[in-house]
Amino acid sequence: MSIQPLSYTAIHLGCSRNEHLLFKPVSFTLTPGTGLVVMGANGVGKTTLLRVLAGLLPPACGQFIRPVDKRMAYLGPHHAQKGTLTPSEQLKFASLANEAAIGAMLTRVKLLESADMPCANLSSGQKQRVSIAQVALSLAQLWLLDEPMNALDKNGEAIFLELLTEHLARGGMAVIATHQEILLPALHALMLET
Amino acid sequence: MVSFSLVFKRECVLLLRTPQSWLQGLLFFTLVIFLFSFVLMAKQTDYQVLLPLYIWLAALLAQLLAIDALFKQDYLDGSLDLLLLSDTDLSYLIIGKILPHLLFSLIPLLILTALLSVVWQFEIQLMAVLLLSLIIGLPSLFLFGSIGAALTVSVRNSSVLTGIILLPLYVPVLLFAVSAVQNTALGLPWQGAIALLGANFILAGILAPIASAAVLKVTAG
Repeated sequence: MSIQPLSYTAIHLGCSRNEHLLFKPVSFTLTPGTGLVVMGANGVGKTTLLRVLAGLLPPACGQFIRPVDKRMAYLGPHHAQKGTLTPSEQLKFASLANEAAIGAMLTRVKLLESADMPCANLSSGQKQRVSIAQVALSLAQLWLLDEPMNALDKNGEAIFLELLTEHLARGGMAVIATHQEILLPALHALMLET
Repeated sequence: MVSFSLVFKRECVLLLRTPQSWLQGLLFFTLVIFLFSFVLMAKQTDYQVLLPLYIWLAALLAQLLAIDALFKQDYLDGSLDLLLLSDTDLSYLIIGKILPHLLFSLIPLLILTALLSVVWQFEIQLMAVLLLSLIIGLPSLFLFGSIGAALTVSVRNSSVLTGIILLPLYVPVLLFAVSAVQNTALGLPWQGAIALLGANFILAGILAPIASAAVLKVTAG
């Protein structure tokens, strides 16, 4: 489970919605083992920034330089889950991980008892746990997480922080848009301002 | 990180768990055929010419009804992002997604058409050409349809809009198929029209996944 040391750089990166620039362009460099916590008021463009970083949207100005091997995991505002699939199937179809790794991950996020229940029957917090497990199983170098602690209880937050710390310790990187406070030494804050 | 086989398997599981998504098209097909045959007051010989055409028209309409939903649910629940972010070329993943939908709608439709051909006492050759035209023609419609579905993925209530966008791509397929079937019923050569239908299928097979992928990258961002 080794990750190639590669860095991501944003230079004067700006995002727009409906031809309207959302926040003052930002510049940052992500080196292995570090992360960014993106903060800012509602509607300032945190989700849009993450989608631009993921390459799902083009930037309005500036550029985001990614390594050629663009292994990224994205946790969006939707759960990207199908109601008729069970959490273990959901993880099986979204990653190349084997059964054992999926089982171990479901145990870690405390979803083993609901592993064979359709996702439609899960609570929002449980769905969020599935999404987090999906990101953790992806083996991606860069995690792009949009409000990862939404709907999570205290225990869920602790599990998430543990997985994040492990990912960063392995040389992974993360960009996290959130309103909650995340206190980890490897994370820097990025404040978006209009 | 998703691959062709994962997308294919996932889509098959989803289609098996929600049969209403593909049964709806089949029921619509049956409904249209039933209504057409109900109003058709013609002599036995006309049946052989007209009914295959109605079957084709009904299949096209049923297909048009289903194609709009191809990417929509994935777009709404965020699953489409996973396809867009994959290292695998998006056009392969799109083929992996289309293929199960195609199989689940085409196979029951072919069985139903074969049954109807027997009930309506079509000649063996007419039945064979009709089935052949459906086997070659419907995948072309599906492939071209994926471009329309990709274009309107973020539009609400887009089924009619998708239909209008797809009309120019669908008309050649319909005309070639219909002329093959009609020629057979009238005892004329049908091979030329089938060959053109085949050419259309090859064109769709090569271009449509690439076009859909390019369109999705813009519309689903």
